Amino acid sequence: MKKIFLPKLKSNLTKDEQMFIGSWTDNRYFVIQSIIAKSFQNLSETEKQYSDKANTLLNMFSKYKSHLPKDKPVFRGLKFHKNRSDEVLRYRYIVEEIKVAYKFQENYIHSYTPFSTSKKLGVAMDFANRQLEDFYSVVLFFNKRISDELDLTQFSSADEFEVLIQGGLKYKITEYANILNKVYVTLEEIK
Amino acid sequence: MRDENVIINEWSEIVARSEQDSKNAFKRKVANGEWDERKEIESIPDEVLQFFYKESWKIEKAKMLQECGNSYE
Repeated sequence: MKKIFLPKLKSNLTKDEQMFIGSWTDNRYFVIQSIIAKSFQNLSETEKQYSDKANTLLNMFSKYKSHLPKDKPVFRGLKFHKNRSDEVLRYRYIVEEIKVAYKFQENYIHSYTPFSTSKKLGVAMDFANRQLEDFYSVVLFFNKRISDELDLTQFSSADEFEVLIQGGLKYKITEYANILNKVYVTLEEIK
Repeated sequence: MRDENVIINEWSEIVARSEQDSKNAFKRKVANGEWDERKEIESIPDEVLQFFYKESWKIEKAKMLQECGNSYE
């Protein structure tokens, strides 16, 4: 199927796509990610209601081209509460992954599901809760991208400047640093 | 067959829930008029900007401040 540019007007999207974006930006990010991660199996009743929207998302990645220049970075901010052992473990696991992928450059990070990023570093820094000491933070800087992403800036709410990156891509870690007790990482997509 | 070079960053419920929480908090901040992008950029430590943008960090910071509230498309 020949790809077309993602329309800039919401009204030019299909009804399903409009509904998906509404759900994604309206508190359903987690549910839709769960559905994709579970590959539509063993879904709870709540999740079943959103399985169509998850399919819509996956179809949008193969239908639309992105307007976003590939040399413009996008950012992702993650936070992990220091008082929650599961979050601390996950944080340590992610940091170890980053270190291994940096040390052994033939290894790479693989994102299993689509995920949210922002065109704005300030937004990612806010998501990483930079100013709160109760959290560990990781800020990812995707400075080279190859695959099409979905730029939802015109559609999503709250000044997030959201860009969805599709799952299944591979990233090389080009650099990482611990600055003022936060981890910062630069990544490049590879084929 | 699994690619042996993949370090699988599998979907994590913990990360997804945390991201949902960040999204909700950000939306609340915007709705309450508490989000100030300019202030946020100005408070990013210089070391962080240097790490991301190397020698052009001052130029990139100026661009970010100029683009506050706008998309760069």
